[in-house]
Amino acid sequence: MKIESIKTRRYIFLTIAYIFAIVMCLFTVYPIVYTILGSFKTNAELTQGGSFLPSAWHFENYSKAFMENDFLRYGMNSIIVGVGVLVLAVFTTSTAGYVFSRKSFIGKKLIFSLYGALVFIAMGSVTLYPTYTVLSTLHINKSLLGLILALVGGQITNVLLVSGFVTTIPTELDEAAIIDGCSQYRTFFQIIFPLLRPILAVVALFSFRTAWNDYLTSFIISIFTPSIKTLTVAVVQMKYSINAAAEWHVMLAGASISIIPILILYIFAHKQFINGLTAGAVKG
Amino acid sequence: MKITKKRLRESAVAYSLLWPNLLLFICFSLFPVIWMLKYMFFRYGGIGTTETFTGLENFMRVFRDEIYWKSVLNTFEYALGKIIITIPASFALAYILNKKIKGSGFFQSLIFLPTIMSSAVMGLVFYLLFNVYNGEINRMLMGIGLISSPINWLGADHAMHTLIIVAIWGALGNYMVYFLAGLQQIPQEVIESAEVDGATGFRKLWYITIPMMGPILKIILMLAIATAFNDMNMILVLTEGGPYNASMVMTLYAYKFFFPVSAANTVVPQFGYGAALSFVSAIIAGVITILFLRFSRKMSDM
Amino acid sequence: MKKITAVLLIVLALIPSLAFAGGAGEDSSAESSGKTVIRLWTNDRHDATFWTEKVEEYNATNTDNIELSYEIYTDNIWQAVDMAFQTGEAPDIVKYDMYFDKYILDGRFVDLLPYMTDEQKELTEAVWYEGQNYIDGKLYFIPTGNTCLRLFYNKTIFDRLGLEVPETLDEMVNAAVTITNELKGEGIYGFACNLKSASNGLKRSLEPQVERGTGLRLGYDFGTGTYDFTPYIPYLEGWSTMIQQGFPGSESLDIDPLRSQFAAGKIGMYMSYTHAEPGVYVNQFPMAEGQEWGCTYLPIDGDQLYGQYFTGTPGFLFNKDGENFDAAWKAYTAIFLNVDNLREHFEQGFGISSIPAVLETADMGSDYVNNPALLKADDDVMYPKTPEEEYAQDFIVEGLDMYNTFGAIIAGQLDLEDGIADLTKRYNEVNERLISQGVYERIIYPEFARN
Repeated sequence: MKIESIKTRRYIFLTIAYIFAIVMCLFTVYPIVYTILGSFKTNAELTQGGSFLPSAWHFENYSKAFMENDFLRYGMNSIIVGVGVLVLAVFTTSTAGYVFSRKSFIGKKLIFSLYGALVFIAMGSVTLYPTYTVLSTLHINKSLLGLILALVGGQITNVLLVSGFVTTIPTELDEAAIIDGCSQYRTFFQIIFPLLRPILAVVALFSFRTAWNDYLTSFIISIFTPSIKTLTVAVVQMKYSINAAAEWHVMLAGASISIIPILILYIFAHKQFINGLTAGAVKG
Repeated sequence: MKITKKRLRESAVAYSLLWPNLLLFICFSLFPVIWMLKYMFFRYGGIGTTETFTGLENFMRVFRDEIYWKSVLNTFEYALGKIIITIPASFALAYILNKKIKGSGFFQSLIFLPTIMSSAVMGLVFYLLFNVYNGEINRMLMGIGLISSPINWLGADHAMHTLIIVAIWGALGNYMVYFLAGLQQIPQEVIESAEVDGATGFRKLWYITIPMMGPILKIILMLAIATAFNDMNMILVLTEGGPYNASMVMTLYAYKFFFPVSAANTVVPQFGYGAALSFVSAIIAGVITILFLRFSRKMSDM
Repeated sequence: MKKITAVLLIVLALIPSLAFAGGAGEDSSAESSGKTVIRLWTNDRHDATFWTEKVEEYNATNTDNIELSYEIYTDNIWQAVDMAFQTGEAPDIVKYDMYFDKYILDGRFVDLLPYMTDEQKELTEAVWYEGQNYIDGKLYFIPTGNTCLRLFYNKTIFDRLGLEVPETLDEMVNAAVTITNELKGEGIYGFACNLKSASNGLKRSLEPQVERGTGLRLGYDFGTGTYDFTPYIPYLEGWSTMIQQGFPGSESLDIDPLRSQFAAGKIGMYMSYTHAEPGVYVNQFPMAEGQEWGCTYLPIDGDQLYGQYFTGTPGFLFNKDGENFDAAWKAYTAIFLNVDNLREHFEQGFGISSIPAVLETADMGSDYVNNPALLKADDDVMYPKTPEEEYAQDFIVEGLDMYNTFGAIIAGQLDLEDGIADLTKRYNEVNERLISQGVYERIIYPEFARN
């Protein structure tokens, strides 16, 4: 084949590729840009149409969202919940994944098959009410701890993911450690846990993102303890607030407040987000 | 296996590491299932009402319930629409962006962006964008002359399409990254040897890359199906399943029996019926998954 | 890696303390200030600014160290109360809704009569509605105001097109179609309804309109003790025309966006509650320059007038298990049973008062003078409860309920005749079955019979 034609082909491919990629980017980014720009507009600009950029930058939309809607508190709640879920998810999935992959113990067959069975069942909304029942029986339905535990949940998929990952680690490693006199626990925490880092990064990112963005569970649990609302719940509920229809601009400011932290995190760590996910998916 | 001392000791160690997860599993994964399995045989309206055992009555009602079966069809339409567009589009993106073209990382970051957003919050934004009387989308389309009168995006005729568009928006980046992972897994030698054999461009893609992606594609499709059957946050915020159940999906329909969204005076929670609906929905989703597994096994046997 | 593990463990150890800070911290801070905190839950949004101000004033000035926490819930107040009762953490005071009747029957709310002074009894006697809030000699809540359904129309548009304010169904439909035809180009349409949730939208519009014209209540005929939805047909036909040629996207509208469009002068007519709208167009969505609203009775088909339901609102229920009933009652009477506050509330258009002492002394605002239809009329009546309301737990109609059936018919998604026949059949089946099972006896009130 002639070099010329290869070059032309490559040129055509690149053109199509770029056009496709750019169109897709516009599609994915537009609503987010709209949200953030819209959060600086007046309500009239939003509801009656206006230019793409705000005619003047109305920062007071944000102070309104913070002052009148208690977003500082909900933001704190979101951070606590996000970090709490992340830590608990990493901890519980790593131990469980390790045990399932490495240990044989009484009841393993039963427990493992329960996990295996439930991973395929799409439970949907039926879990919400019983989840709440559990929390209220334990008297943690009014605290962020309850919300965190409910959001961590069984982590079935992640446990299986980690378990699969542990299997790829040679058993000689832990055997050698135990021969060296390491206790079972030290073997796990010092030898295995560090090796799980790539997959745990995925678990961490996934669970943080899920917790930060969760609406239904957080909404149901915070229905009657509004002080534990997360940012996401607070923003969505603005739609039903006193002035909802008159305050699209404040609502967009609220949406931006819930988007921007994770956006900033993403700007600094987007490689880790994507690579972490990629690495995890490959090895898992 | 005999229960020996060693085995007991081993079990103790295992459980000492397992319990945090096991406990959460029992409370938040297993218990809801048991709860459902019990209440689907009862009539129960929540606290302040009595539980009545009604046998199979709830199930008889499920099979009579036309709205439910409509919501099942809607779920299929939603899942199918979402998957059929998302999977090829995200694969194409992954394929292009895997080529190390200029700005690949930048494109990846932008396309991945929606996946870190809350679908509920974005549901709110999409409501603003799509509403018929002053939505930005209509204004734009009319501005560039594509349409002459506003499209009723959230009306009965288009609500499902709108939801699918929004779902694709949210899912593209996720599946793109899965595909990227899969592409990077293909050993470079295979590609190179194919190139030595003279395979180029499209042929390389069709005969080498796509078949090599088989196993990953299977996992991705499984994930996509499971997710699509469970999606309801965006739908709840954007349309609440309306208008007139045009965009009602299985999970949301059951949800309304647990937490009546629009509490008109006559609406009461019906936990028993909700549980029965959830059970049947889980079975449907399960059957689909099994069918898919069978099908994909056959495919890979060929 | 060790470091990471260590950090993980520390954070893990910290979580419980962090997490409990959310819920528990609040209670302790309230206790340490020595105040008795009374929680009141309401879902009234239209007058939130008014009452919040009054509550703050009370909290700042009362000498009993009482702090009333006026908490506004959205559409999920019902679930919130359910959950709260389940865990024994129900608020001290909650705004009455028919959904809570089950708790009244369950004896979870306080009979207020023993705590009322003679003065208070005299003040409120006019709103003791037998069978509603006054049951077997016990008074559970005091609805100081009332709300009726009316047609709200844009006077400016009507004047501009020289249209008469409609009194009959046909006139209303004609007006709606005329407005749309004439002014569509300006984005102005004849009629709108918040049909995003058909039940929320139609219970505040079509249903009372049909009641007024036919004497049926939720499809139930108290004369025969049976359901019959056939008389809804002419109304549904009219509505179908008005909605399909009306404001685009009614089927995805909530009430507030509808109001904001009405205030902007884009909607000719819609139906809503009298207690809310005057305040809404002052505080939430001020009418656009030159736009003026008017209010009239719901137009009917024919000339035989029947009763149209009205609701007593707001009334407040007191939790029997609340630890601070005395303080709750004190705060409540000082704020919500205070004649000056009630008068101000009424005068400023936040609600229609039912208390004679308020009505007699109030300075009627121009809204009321110009729109006498805002006030309760003689044909606004309190209906007895239909079987579906009274036995909500048992009366479960499978398939589309009446409102969603109407919604589907109006949108042209369902055949009118078939849909209505099927609806009548399904409601009657449930009614007859429950009667034959002995759940209740046929509910008949001759004084509410259709002629």
